[in-house]
Amino acid sequence: MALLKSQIESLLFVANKPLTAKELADLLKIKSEEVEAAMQELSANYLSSESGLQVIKNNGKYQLVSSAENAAIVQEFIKDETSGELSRPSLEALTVIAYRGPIAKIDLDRIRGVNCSLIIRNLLIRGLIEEKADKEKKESFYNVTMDFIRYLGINQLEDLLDYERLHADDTIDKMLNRGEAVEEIVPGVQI
Amino acid sequence: MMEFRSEKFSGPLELLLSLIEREEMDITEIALAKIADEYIAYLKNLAHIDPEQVADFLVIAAKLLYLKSKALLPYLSTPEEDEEIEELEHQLRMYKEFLEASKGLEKMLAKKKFSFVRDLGKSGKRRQLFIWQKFSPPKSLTKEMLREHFDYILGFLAPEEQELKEEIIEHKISIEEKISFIQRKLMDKISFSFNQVIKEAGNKTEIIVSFLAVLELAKQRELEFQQDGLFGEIFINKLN
Repeated sequence: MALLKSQIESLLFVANKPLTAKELADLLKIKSEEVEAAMQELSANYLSSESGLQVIKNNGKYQLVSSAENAAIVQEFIKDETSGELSRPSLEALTVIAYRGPIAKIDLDRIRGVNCSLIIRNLLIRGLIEEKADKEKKESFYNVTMDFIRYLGINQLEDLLDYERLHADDTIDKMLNRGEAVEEIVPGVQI
Repeated sequence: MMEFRSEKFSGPLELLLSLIEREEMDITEIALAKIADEYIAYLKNLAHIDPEQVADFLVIAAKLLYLKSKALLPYLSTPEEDEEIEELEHQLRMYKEFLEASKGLEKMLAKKKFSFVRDLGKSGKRRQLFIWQKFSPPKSLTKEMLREHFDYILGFLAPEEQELKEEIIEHKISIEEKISFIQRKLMDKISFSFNQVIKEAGNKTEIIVSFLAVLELAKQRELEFQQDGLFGEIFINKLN
């Protein structure tokens, strides 16, 4: 495992972009699950060693990035002016996508009680969310991107507060499904 | 109050939630009925409401009005509508959860703990970490690609063949039928309560028709009403 970890670390360092577990597994001629196990250890090592680097994970992809703790000094060095400010509606929509992704637009609209088309477009342009079209369902689903993970300085979505509960809450599923089932027949009036 | 009205809300649910929380109430049917007037007053006073959002705000307003009318005339509610109201309660609770989560996210963002990547473009110049509202199409984009994508999107829009649902058409009752029904009832009994007429009505339309029929008979001086108090039972008495 030690060798595997160090090999993956080198690959991520040189790759300079997110790599999927499958890509790593193909390169190393091992199974994806082995990559995932090694990555978990590697990520934990970084967290416990006060390293200036960390591994982030999203949608089955891994990336080596600078530690969130050092954001200020790195930002000064590369003269990045990212402020981190988002409007309230954008933040709300982003939260829902982060916790419930992959999520269809109609469900996002229903949770927020308002049409989110413009917000989705803005978040897409900012690179904070990505769209995946489902050809079968003829519907698009939205997920947060690797940039979003870096933007929050977390390692993975599971690090969000209350993630497990809000992600898996089946009362939300039920409510979203029920919304679809409601279809009214208006009786005609004859007076 | 004025301050509150000038506040901007990102959607109807946020407005609803802040009205309820200001009253320190839980999310219940009663709380929703109570704040119906304030919600509508807020909409009326709003000078600039995003036209794209008006419909979303109005849908909720209609549900609140229904709730309020139900509090006044409980016997007029129907199971389907009650289900919709229950859904509104659920929706609001769910929204509250995510609103709180978004505040957590906001706090995290305020720390500005971004992680950076070693990202050097081909020119050797470092690109900005996050792209803020700057979008330009990639240089390799061709006309053919645009066409392909457009066709792909059109594919999504292709209308689906919908099977028409079979439905049994409800029997509709006319006002004349209802009038003779009430006239017959008055022959048996000199006086009865309007509630009895409602009980025998099968649906909302029939209730309305019954009401109109009774009004018509009152106009023709065949009967008169009697009610002892506000919202009390309405009795129908036969006139000679």
